[in-house]
Amino acid sequence: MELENTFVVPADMDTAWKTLLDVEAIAPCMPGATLTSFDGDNFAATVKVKLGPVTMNFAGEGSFVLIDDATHTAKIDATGKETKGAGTAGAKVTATLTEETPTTTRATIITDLTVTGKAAQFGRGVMADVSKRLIGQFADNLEKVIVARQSPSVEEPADAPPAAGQPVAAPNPASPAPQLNNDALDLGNAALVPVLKRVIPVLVGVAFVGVVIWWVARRRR
Amino acid sequence: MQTPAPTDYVRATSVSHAISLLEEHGEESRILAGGHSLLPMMKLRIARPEMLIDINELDELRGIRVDGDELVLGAMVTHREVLESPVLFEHYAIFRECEKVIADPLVRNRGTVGGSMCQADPSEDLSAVGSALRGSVVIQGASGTRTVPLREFHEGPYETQVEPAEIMTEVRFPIRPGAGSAYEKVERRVGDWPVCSAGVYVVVSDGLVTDCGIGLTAVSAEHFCAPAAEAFLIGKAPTEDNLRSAAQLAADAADPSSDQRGPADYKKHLANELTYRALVRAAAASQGA
Amino acid sequence: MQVSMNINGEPVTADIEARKLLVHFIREDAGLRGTHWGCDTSNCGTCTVWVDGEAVKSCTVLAAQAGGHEVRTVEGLEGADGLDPVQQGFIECHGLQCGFCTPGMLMTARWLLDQNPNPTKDEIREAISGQICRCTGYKNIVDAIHWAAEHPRTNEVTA
Repeated sequence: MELENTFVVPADMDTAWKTLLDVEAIAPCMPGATLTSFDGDNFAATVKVKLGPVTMNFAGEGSFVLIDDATHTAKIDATGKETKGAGTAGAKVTATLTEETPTTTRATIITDLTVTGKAAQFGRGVMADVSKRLIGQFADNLEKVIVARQSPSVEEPADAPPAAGQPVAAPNPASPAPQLNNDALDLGNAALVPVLKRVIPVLVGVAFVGVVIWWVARRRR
Repeated sequence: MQTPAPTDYVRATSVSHAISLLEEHGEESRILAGGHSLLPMMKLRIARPEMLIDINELDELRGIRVDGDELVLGAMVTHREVLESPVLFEHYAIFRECEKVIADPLVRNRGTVGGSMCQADPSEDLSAVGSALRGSVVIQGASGTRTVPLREFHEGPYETQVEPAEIMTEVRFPIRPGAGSAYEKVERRVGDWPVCSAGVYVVVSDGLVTDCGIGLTAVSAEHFCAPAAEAFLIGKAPTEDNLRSAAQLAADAADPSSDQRGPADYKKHLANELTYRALVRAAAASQGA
Repeated sequence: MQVSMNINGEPVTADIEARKLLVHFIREDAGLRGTHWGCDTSNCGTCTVWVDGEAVKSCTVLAAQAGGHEVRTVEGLEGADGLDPVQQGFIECHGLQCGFCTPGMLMTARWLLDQNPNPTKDEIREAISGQICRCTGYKNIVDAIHWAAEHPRTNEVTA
């Protein structure tokens, strides 16, 4: 099935593209995803999701099949397996940035998702709902990151712990990002994340999370 | 063969005991009420709580009563009790009509109102009723209780305003003299989740609609309701044309996806048609009452 | 954990995992195989037993939840004076073929008739709407329950 999600970030195209390429800043934005390794164009990730009564752990890997700076498009092929079960999922993700205005950029993510096993019985309604929510969370967090980067002297977002009366220093990759809404997360320690040049693995987390929804949606009372 | 993953089990002896158990065991604990949402998920190992907190002994969470101008249902009230309750039926036929098409008699013996509401399945029939009637829930935590309107209760599929160390204790509905109500559901087979359901109440006074609520489930209507359709009807006569227009507005509030229960356009059509049929019967009941 | 309950009036105690379902406790720890284990998805109803007089699907109840409660299974339908009228009705009206759904049907039928001694055929259908039968097409089952309603236990029931 195909899922489409889209959101807008308050940054010009260049900043948006560059920020998206800064994985250390982006990885914590994605609820539940942890990058475990990166090697050239291949990466591995785990996703932990808590959704109501559901907790699921996925492990997967993927690779970039396209990064196009000219069209600001990236494509990833990824597969994942539930760590404690028999479900599998495959996702082909296409992420494209387009300029909305000189100061805002739209990200469009199209996910072509295939699931096997029990998951294949499930409906897509819940999947679409939840992936929309998670992308929304990701976008909110991403916006905070971008805003913090663009205006180092601006006060940190309200839910960050206040610095002791000093102006906020320009964030560097090793310092904590603005407090993000990551309550469903199982964050990897940012210091352990290897330096990565590509961000899109994070978006693949969405696809894995989408698989969760397949499982959850299966019901007969 | 489906077997839950290993878990632990404890019985709560009071609501505050249940809350302290939730705090003690953290996010890997889960309230066990009727168990007919949680246990099937555990059998599929989609849910793997490490501690089940059985609240079936909490009589303080049972009972249906009138409290001033509200109907109050304890969170552990079963679907069967809602179905058979004379006091609920007296005020809103929608409760009985809805419960008749929820699951089957055996499941209704165990499943609870609180459990269904907190499970927050996007196709939950009671969610449509709760939003239609503009009900609210009372949630209790260590720091006390709070009341949340049902139209603000859902955060997304399977996610509600109930925090990890909180428990829903009651569901409350305003009493509206003169209201008529109705529920319409299409399902693939008996006991199934809806392809689409619509639940409404209407108050008609001097030939005009003075109050109404329209709830929809299984079609991704935000907060399980159709506010534009409701607003349209206020002050208008419940004629066929007006009800048809309201039903169309209700369908506009639906954003269904195609899945094994049916294609999206069919579900949209059902949102329209079922809302219309429910409005017709509810308006007639209000005028006949 | 240790769980104790009365099944058909007899105490049964066993040391079990918390995750054990009531249907398995009944079949394994109490040795009562009359209760069947069918779909495991809470649909077919062949696992139906009574807990404190209420018919429930025992595949969707933990044994731990039934601890300290009264459980009645299909083995408990027969009385000192012979078969329960629902059992006799299934004989009279050929209400089974393979028999797999039958225990659940019997338990639900008896539960229905205890509350509603003279149900209409529609009410019978409603009552068994939580049970699935693959063999009979339900007609004979409905007739059997109707027969039982018309021949309650106060009458002489010949085996």
